[in-house]
Amino acid sequence: MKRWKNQVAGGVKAVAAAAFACVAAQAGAADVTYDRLLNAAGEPGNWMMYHGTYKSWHYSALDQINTANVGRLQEAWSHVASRAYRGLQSFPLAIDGVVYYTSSYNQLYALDGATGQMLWTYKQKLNEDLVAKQTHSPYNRGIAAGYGNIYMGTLDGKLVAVDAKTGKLNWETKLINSEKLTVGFTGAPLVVKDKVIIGAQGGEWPYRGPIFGVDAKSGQQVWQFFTVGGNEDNGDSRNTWGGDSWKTGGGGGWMAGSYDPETNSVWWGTGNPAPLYDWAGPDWQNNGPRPGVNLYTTSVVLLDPDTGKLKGYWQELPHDAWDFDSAMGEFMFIDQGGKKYVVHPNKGGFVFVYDRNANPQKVWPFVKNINFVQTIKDDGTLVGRRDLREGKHENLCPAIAGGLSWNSGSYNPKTKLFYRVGYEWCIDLEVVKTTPVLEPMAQLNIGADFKFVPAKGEERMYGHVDGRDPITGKVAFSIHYDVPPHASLLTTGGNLLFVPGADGVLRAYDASNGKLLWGHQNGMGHNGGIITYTAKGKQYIAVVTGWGSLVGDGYGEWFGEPYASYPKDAGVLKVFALP
Amino acid sequence: MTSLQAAARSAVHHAVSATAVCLALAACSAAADDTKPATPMTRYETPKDAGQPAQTKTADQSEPAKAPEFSAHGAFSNICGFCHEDGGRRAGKGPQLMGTEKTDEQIFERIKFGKPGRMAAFGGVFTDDQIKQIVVYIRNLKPR
Repeated sequence: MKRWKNQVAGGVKAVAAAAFACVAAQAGAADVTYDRLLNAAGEPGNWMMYHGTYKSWHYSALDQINTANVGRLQEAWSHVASRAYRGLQSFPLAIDGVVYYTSSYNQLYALDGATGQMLWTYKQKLNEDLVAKQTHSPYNRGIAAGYGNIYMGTLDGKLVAVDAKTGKLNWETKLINSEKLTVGFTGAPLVVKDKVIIGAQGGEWPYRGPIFGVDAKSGQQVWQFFTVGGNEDNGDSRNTWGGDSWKTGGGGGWMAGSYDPETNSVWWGTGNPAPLYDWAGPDWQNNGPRPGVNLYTTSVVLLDPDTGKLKGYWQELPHDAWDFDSAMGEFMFIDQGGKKYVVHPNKGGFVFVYDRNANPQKVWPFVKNINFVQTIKDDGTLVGRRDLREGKHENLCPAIAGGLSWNSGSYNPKTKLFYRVGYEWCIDLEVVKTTPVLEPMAQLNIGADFKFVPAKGEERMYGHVDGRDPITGKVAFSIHYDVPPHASLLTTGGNLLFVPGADGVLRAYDASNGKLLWGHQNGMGHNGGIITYTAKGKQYIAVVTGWGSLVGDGYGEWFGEPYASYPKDAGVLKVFALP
Repeated sequence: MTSLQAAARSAVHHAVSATAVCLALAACSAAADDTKPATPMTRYETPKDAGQPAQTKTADQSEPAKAPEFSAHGAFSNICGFCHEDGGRRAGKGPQLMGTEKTDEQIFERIKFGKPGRMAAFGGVFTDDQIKQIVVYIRNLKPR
């Protein structure tokens, strides 16, 4: 069987390495070439990039653990992270028997994938004075591997390359003037060909959210693409911002996108514009703090990986007035019915289905409670926008935290289902006039007072995990959650769907029908990634725990205990296997 | 509804001092803090327009954004409200500020120095005087 052959080869490599070095299984990321990344799906025992593969399915073909035996799944080992403020929010990588993952304050660990023994650890020297002034901080969402390096974006605006074998810093490149702009990097980078690509934080922050392309070997910055108003050759896009509002436009590309080798296009999502809410309401074309559609915020952009040039785009929400980023949401490359699609969840609760040139083919709602628009047509046209003037408004749905959030969903090619967490909640708000604060450092620019409420007609706020047709949105099954999970999902060739719950329970379901097969209390909530991999021929499931993201922080108020009593500075990597 | 939520609602509807509820000003954390007991010490003087709705001017479209005229309510709508819901009247990502048992000093220090991994330090953004205005705004918060 193809899978076993790969695993045996990996095991032999690992043993050979151990014989030579005092650290085991170190051959890993040194051998992560671009070719291996391109063909990552052929190595289901490894998880070599944030989204698993460029197709971003968050799926592994591994089936050693399956519906028949998952009931016997048990803890194999765990690793406790230090200073894990806001919990662990990252996706581990697993390469040739070594697990790499990050925790808060840009700490990076390399662990033996079979035993959990620490191989090395790296702690970035940060400008901690700056970090203390950040709100969307001090967490890290993940790393990229290639060319012998583990790449990580730092809170204070650098991209660093850490040697995958030794844990020593190979280079660091300062990309963002975080001391002035306050924001840095929290999202994972993406290796594409000979570049490392990463996007800055920055939706409701008054800058222009660049996406950067850096030489993967030398660390030299090669290009940057300004998500707000584009680069010099995108002059027209600046005309979609009244006056000088593009200079403080927001629009960061703060999560890892993906890459289509067939079209040589990087797909990346951009954040919302600033200020987040717009007091001009329906007069936004001509009045208010940022008149115009505000390109390229809340958009999907296609970039040339070599030059950073804009090849195409679709603006999911023209003149986004609700904080419904396109920056979050995986880009899943799915073929169906002989057609090639790219499926992209938007924070507002709609799933956009594109062709490979970013033309919308279908748009469907994942959640029930949406009224910021009446609907979005299959060609992407917004119908019945709810633009909110200065003043009080009730029941805007979904809430500012979104109907879909930044943790990933999963696509299983065997069930042909797309799985994600939906959030059913709304806000009452009062929109006010605000002015960007830029001195001495940039600050948030929200533009409203808000409070979370259940949707009108609903008794409470809640969530659900659905298995759906990725193109049509047709529901195969829906699992109700009184308290929405806030972590990423995983499906496998063993026909399993893993859902790390906010209540601390990691659950495994039958991916075909949503039947609950196994659960294990991990001690606190989950708000990050989950992967599967093999080490020495055995399959493992690795999930991060921890709580305190800028969505999860509200759970204590909205849902009570145990969320109100969760530690805010704890996080553990937990790894499971069959006995 | 937990006792914490029930008590918060009670405080909102009846505008009573929230003595029955232990509220912490560790913003973005609804868990009780274990700092010193709340004994009011210095009360900052109330500037004339403290607690009034925002008088913030909007930036002229044709000029680069200027430093705004300061208003505490404006600070909430711009920045603080991201975690302190409804202008500080309600808990959310951060605790409810209306009716807090924290002293003026404790509130001042928290805004200025933050709390690691929980709330940013805003001492570089607001002057001491502006922070005091925010404290007064918080003290004057009433249910809508």
